[in-house]
Amino acid sequence: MINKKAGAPSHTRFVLVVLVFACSKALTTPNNQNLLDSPFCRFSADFSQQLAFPDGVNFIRASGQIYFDCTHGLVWSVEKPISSAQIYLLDGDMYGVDFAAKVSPLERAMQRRVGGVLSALLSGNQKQLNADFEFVNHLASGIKLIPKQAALKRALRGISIEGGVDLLDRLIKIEQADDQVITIQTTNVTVVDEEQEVASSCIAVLGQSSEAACRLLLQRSLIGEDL
Amino acid sequence: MFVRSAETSARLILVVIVTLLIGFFSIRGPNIAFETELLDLAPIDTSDALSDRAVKELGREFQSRITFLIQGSEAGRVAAAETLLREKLRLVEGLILSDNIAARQNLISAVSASRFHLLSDAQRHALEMADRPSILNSLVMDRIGLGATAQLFDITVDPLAWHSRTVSEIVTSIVPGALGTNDSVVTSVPAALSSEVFEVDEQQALKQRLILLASRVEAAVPNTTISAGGAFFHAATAASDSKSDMIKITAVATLGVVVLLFALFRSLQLLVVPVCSVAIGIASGFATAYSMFSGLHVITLIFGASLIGIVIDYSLHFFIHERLSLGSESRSGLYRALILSLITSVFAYSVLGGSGQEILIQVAVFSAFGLSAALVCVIALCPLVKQNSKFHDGWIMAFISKAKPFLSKLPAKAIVITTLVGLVGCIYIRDWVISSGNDPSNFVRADQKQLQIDRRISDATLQFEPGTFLLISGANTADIFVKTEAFVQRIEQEGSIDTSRFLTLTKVIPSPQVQRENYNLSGRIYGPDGVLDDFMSVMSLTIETARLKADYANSQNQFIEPSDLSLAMKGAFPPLWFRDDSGAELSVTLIPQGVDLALLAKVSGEIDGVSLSSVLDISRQGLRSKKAAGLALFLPLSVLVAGFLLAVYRRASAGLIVIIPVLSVSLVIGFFTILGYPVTLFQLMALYLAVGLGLDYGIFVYEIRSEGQLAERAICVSAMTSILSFGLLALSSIPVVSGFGLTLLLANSVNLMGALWLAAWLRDGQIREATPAPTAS
Repeated sequence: MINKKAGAPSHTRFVLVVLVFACSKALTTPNNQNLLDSPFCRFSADFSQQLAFPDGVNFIRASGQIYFDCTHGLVWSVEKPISSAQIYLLDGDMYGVDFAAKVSPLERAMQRRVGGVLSALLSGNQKQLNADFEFVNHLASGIKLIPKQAALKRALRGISIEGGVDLLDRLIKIEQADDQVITIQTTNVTVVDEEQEVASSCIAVLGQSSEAACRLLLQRSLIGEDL
Repeated sequence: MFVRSAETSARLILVVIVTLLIGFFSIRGPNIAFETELLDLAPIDTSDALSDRAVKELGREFQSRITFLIQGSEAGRVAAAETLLREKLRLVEGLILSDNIAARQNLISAVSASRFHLLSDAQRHALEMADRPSILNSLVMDRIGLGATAQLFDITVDPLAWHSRTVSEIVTSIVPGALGTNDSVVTSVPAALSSEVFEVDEQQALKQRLILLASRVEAAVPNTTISAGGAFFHAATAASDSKSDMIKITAVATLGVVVLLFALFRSLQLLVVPVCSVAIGIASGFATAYSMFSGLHVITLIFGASLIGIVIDYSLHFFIHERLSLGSESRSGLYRALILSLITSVFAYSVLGGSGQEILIQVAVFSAFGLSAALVCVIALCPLVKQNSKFHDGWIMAFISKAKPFLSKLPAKAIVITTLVGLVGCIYIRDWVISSGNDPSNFVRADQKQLQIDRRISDATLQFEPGTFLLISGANTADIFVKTEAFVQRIEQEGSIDTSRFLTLTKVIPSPQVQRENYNLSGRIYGPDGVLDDFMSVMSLTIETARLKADYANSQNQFIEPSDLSLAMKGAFPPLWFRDDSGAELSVTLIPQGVDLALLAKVSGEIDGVSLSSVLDISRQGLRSKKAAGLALFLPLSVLVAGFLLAVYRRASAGLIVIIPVLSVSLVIGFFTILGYPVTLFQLMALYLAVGLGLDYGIFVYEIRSEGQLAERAICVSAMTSILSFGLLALSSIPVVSGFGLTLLLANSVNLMGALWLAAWLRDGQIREATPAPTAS
């Protein structure tokens, strides 16, 4: 039986409780949130991507380059196994460009969802990420994004992000609800001059073969002008 | 001789009946359950059997649907409440949670073997238009892009995720937002009852449990509210009300009758036979009806329990006859009267059986067998009871004395003319009687609070018209596709209806012709010259392709049947396709809310095999036609019974017996019409029971007219027991039951007065016949 008189005075107990809450809060707030920051407006990087099937035996691997501009969007340019590209504009429009430079809109829900999240991650759009995800610490230096909404939970289990050897490198793991896991490793992050016109800059980085994809980055500003 | 052999035979039959009843209740007793489906109160009767089946199943599906509406202050809380509620509901026995994942799994199982026949529009386009390298490129791009297509089939079955994509697109087309972008502060959890939950106590327990679970989730996730709605909640309330009414009415009626009998006979010993006859009558009626049908509806039981008012009459007639007549020698007349009244009652109830509606047939069987067993019990046991000579019916005698001067002044011609005028009046108001009181939703008392909840849920969640849909019938699957296409084109010509919002399996499954084309197109991937091996090589996958190619080659004639798919997706979706043994098929199209139904009805009438159906309208029409048939039978029934009685008694005056129930029916119908009180099919059923009672009274009066006031006194007592029990039914909280009770109360009161008039008229020598004794054969 606890003798109240023998315990600490009530104001002391209050302070203790507040401290306990404060400590627990500090322990649960992600301290690796800087991984979500994007220090540059325009950059390129190499990527390697691996899709692991639930059977644990088969994998699909791809590699290429990304080009990102914080006012236009992302070009996901695949070099292997075949040359192709996906363009995720910040206004929400998304396109695919095949090896013959034929453009078609991306319509699959999962593609659009993951593309949208990746654009938000690269542009450091924490407002959008906050609306859709809860942030928790992941391993020692990583952060994990857990979907908040039931609809998003039905598609994604979570997205974990870890820093690489280089300060700007990232290892992004997208765990789908159907047990497929897409792992994306970005390396060789390079800041790109923001003065140059975006399409030309993109072509200069990704090469002439990506011209059709790079020109689509202008789509957003063109739409804006039309309006 | 006739008396003794009748009593001996009755005892033997009674032993058989009791033995059978003991056997029945020993075997079935623990498993006896009652049906409480509201749809059974409303007959479904469309032009063909397949449409009947479709309407019944869709109506049943609608009835079994339960929706939980979750509202909250923020999306996160609503999502948390949804997850918690789903977890809890999954543990509830008798409830099937329908969700997109289940629908998708069922769809995958149903189409797995025929997957090569199914392509989305985009896939078809890709295979039709592209050359070989482009197809390969497109397949690879799909696999390496961000956001992999959900792998719905096993990786060895669908390494390209090609069929997974098809199924995903189909599910999305059936359920808008299936993959979800819903960030609303309102969401819903749809569920369905499994068909087993129709027992009253189970329903109540389930209802309470669901309400409790919802309130627990509300408590666990603050700032959320959960409402549960659906026809089930109304059915559970109605069933509970019915059961409670049944218990109360049976108890009070039994008590009232026992007190009345004790006041008249002052002998507890005499009560044994009436109680036994009631128990054996009801038990026999119940056991026979229960054995003949798959189960008994609780409404049948309520109406059946009201038989107590008729069954008790037999014992009363016996005891009063024994006390007031010349002795056991005159029992032959009594037995003839009892048997004649049973025959005419069973005759009247058998007309109910011809209505074609299961509940009415159940009541007819219950009544006919219950009354027969009760009469056997009376003839077998009553003579064994020691009689004394006292009968304390002074107040009944006083009533008869007061009524007699008034009644004896009524000439037979006036009664006959009044009856004929009543009959003509009934023919005149026939249309109003037939068209009123046909709304099944008025049969039970609606819970207003629950109705408000249902409206709120409907406003927030309902996408399609409830209980109204298009039925498209055809000789085969292809025929339905042709008719559906014709209908869609015709509707689009009108320009005001967006057909893309309609839900039909013809939008999900291609026609047989298109399936064949899809199969051929799929050959560009899986066929001998397909790109499958190239894909494996480019992607460095080590999956065996020979089996996939063999699957493709072997499935050439494995078309996806819409009826199979509809069956496979049962529970997650309403049944949307039906097929009968002859191969005829029927497609159901769900109509989005807010569509101009009048226009749909007009256009559907123009195309052969297309019809707009509404469960409520069909039920109304069914009730209307049953009532029309029931009313039309009254006159031939009366003529037949009159003919039967004339044949038995061989005297013209015997025809007056029929006047009593005919007058009663026409007066009650006229009375309801004047007051504007709708006459339901069940009130019509009550009138048939009243015909049986009226004939009983008439036969007794006529049969034992030579034995002073014996008949009047016996009839007064039996009418009082009937009025007591039926009068109590009029107090029921269920409109359909109270209407039944009120009708019988009024009709039987007229029967009583009619019987007293007939007795007075006969005794006052207004019959100009020489021989008073009957010569029944």
